[in-house]
Amino acid sequence: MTTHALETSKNAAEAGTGLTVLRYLDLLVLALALPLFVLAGLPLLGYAAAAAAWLVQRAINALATRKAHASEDPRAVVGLLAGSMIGRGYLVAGSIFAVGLAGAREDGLAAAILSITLFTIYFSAQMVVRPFDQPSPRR
Amino acid sequence: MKTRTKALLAFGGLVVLAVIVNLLVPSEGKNEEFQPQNEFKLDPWIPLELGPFDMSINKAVLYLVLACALTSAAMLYIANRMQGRPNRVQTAVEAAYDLARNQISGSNMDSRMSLKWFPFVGTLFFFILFSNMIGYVPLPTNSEHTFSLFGLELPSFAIYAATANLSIPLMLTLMVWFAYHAEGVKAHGFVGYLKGWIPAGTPNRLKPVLFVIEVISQFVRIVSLSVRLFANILAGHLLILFMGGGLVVLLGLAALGVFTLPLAIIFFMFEIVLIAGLQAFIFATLTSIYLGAATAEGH
Repeated sequence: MTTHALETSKNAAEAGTGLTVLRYLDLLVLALALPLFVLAGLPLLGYAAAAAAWLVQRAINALATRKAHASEDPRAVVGLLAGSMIGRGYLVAGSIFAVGLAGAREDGLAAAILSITLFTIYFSAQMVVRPFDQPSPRR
Repeated sequence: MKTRTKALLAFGGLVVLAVIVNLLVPSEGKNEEFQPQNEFKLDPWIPLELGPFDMSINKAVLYLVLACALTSAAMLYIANRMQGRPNRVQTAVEAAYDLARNQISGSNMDSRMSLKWFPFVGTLFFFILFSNMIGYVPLPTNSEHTFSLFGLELPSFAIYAATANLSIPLMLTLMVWFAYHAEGVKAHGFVGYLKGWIPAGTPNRLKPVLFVIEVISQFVRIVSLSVRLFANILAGHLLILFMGGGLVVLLGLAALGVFTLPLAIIFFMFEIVLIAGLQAFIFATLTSIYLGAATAEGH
């Protein structure tokens, strides 16, 4: 194996690890937020609600994306992706709303801030990762 | 099940949900405290006044710096990793580069002008694109509303874009406006360039009128080019803000959120997928058209 090939393979492996970290960065931050909530004395009910809603919406997203990739009907693909997007929005917003009503307003606020932070991280990471996920055109 | 039945069921479900939300949180009446226009207010973070000029660092400056840094970093990253057999990211960037070079610059200017001005037009395209895109990422920039963490008062999350502030599109437009006039004068001479504003074959008595109209149209370009970008991005942000909760807070009517939330998501996707790129494309294309027209032989 040539030096160039070794170097290229090393770069590809590093890029692959970096992309995997980026792909799941929101989940990493969600895990790291727990000690922060405990140390800062922030409402744990807010954390629990936001974390549960975020994990469920991530699972729904993965399921809908997999089904959309498997489908060959463009209408079904659009329906699945748009439906899951709106449904996930309701899920997260509903959780924040519900925890704000069931607990104190601070619980709702903490859940809202955590959800928006996770969305910012997820959305920014997706912008970087997405081009790597596109199928490359044949040359 | 028919599509119509599905739509009716979904709407019925939303109405039931809205009624439940209304029972849980009855209307609180209008909220006078929330001022939506303040979402776009520029509070000076680091006050900096140079004589009559307010050069304070505020969130618009932060977004500008972010857009510049991201544009430069992304292009340098790709340029340093160009390969004979491109990977997926390089393919995507090459497609955008081709769009800027062939569709935006190449098709609106002759080859000499295109070669000279492509770096400027391409940079405008990518800068506006990046600026618009990061405008949809919620960042902790709203210093009017804060939240507390470890005793620190941190700004709330908000969406904002440098291009949603008229000053930025206006400065970009002025650069374009002066550049194409300078190219026109260089190509045809001052008098020749002004003469070129009147179409060939115009009767002498109509020439002054047409010249005045053309002068007005040249100045209107400053307004149209800058306001088009500014208004589109601002309108998108306002729609997302109001549908995503602003209207609910303003009217104190939580049940309304059941109907506006999906609209917010739809507008958000519409802005990211279509408007952010389209506005960058339009601005860069019009720049090329103006530069090309100013130096064209038949001008």
